[in-house]
Amino acid sequence: MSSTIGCGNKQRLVEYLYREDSGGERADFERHLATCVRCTEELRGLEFVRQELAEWAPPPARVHFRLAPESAARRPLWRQPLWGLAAAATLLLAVGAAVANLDVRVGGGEIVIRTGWAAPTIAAKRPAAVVPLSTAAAREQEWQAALKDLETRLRTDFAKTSSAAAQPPASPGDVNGAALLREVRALISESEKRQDRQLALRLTDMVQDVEAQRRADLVRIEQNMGQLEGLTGAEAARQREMLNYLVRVSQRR
Amino acid sequence: MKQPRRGTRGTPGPGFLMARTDEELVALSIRGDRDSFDQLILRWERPIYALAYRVLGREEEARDVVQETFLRAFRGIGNFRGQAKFSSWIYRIALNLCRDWIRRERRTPVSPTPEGVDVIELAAEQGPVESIEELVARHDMSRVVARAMERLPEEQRTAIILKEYHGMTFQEIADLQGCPLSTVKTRLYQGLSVLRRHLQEQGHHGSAGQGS
Repeated sequence: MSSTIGCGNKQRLVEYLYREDSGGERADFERHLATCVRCTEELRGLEFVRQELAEWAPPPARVHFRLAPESAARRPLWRQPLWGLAAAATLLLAVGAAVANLDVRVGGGEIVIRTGWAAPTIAAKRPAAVVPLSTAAAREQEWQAALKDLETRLRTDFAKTSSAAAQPPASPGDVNGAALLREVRALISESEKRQDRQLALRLTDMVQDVEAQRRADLVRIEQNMGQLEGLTGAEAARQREMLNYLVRVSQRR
Repeated sequence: MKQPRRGTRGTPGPGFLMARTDEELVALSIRGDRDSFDQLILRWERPIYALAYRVLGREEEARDVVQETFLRAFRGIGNFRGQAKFSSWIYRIALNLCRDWIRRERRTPVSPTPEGVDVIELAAEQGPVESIEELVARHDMSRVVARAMERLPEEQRTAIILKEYHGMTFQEIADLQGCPLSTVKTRLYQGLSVLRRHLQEQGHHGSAGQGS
């Protein structure tokens, strides 16, 4: 191949540069390079550019996007464990009632609702004349029954929740307890795996951060040292000049 | 295409956590396994970030691109039929987002001053002969390259980035950029030639660049 045949073919040059040519093409181009100074020089120039490009590193990435983990807290309501829901409901009611110092009384044809620690009683009195006595009595009984039922249910749920949270299932035959335990264990295992991954990620980040900081510190130190040397040299030269001047003046006198 | 590594400078990554191939993880993700998609993110977020940063020249926007890329990928993974590699698919999403951002901003990407360099301090201390940029660039070759890259047209810059930092073949770049193979080679040649001239202007010749 003569030195002029391959010179205009920049695509061949790029293929050779990136080693994306076939064996035969590569051998042909190498024969051309052996006789063409211009192509050889251009190839070396481009190789030098590639070396310089290798120096360009992006700053440490602070990107850790993850899909929201499907934790128990984010499951749909209907997939939440029953004991969890019961515990949450009980706790919410208990705290709410305690904070509000809720006091509900039904009797004597009236409903009395009182909240707050020192609040005066707010009574929603319903005149007996408006509601027939028989209806009022029936409603009162209904209210009392409903409240008792609610109280019983809450107490039962709370007792179940407390026992479930405090201790593992009492016997292997306790199917619900065993299932609960399995679920908790699965959640813990999943959480541990996720934490392992996060830990590995954080460690990698930390190594990168330290390395980036080290490099930046080195650059600064180098800059400061260079400037310090320059300043020291300039100051010494100025002192020397001043000394020479004084010597010359004193010699004249 | 290069398989991604954790970290950009050879930092070891948690490869032990990633035994499955992209294709397997994609299949599991389509079936609703979020952990598998998380692994895909973990595997590809840094290459995508590096790509976006080099194309845009801005950290914050690069992070936004990464987030949006994976969000779009997650939403569209049900339609991903494996006609292309997952990496090609996700690179295409990221490049489209970068292109949108450049068009929207209609400005040349800029590169922030490297971390750890106090520009004000340098300005106060440096002499009148050498500018701050020159001072920083003199100590950090990375900055010189970054500034040289900013001068390139977007297509040339992207082609060089995909080739140099992501190890793609000419054909993969052509597929991503939607252009003929010959155009990719031309873009690479022209881009490298411009970079070479710019580096020479900056006084970076290199022994090989002297033709000796």
